[in-house]
Amino acid sequence: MLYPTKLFGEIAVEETNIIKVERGIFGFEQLKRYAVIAADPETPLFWLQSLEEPQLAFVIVNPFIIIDEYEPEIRPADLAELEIEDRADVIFMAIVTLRENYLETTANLRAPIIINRKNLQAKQVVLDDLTFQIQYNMIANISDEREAAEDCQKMKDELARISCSPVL
Amino acid sequence: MLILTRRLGESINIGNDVKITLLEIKGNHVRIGIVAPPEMAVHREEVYRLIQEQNIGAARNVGTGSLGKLWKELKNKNR
Repeated sequence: MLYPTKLFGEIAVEETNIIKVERGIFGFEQLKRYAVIAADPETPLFWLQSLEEPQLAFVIVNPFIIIDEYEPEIRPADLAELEIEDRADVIFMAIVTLRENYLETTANLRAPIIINRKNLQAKQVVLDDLTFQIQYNMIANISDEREAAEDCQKMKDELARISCSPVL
Repeated sequence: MLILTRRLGESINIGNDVKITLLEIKGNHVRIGIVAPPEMAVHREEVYRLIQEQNIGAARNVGTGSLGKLWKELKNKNR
């Protein structure tokens, strides 16, 4: 099906690639359907485009590229809500905040969006662990070693698998 | 809103699994103990507000250009 977007014009999204966020993203609770868009497949950055509000798109990042061993505790109730049976089925995304000065670009590691890779049901969860920051500076934490690491590559493949390419 | 008066040390039960106890009062600070099942998320309200604001800010900043260019800038700066 075709969906209008502000940034990419009309995009074609297969029903099976739609990310379903039943409770919405905090601040945007009424919007429940999104697509992950790989506008630049060379980067670990993706767009999370609302399919209900053409103006709304978040930049998201593969968190493994900016932090080692990102294995936050997820509540069993959240796993159950998304019908996640195996933790290995969780795809993590962190919402990125771009600012006028790109050196201040941050990612929200405290409230990641988790996706069940099997059915693409998703939820923005709030982690109990206070060491994960809401405004985690990205630039200080990017490294080639992290990018080459196995968990990072794995998450990159997962995100690529569920993403759509815009026809520009 | 249900409003109840409690003394220090007294509790309120919500359903069978949630218990809120008034632990300490110091000036305008009140310490509250909460017992809730692990599957129930308990956070200070401002955490949700901060995350909501962060999301709204993140949504506002789109259209800054290509992600490829941004990523290159971020990487180069860090070298």
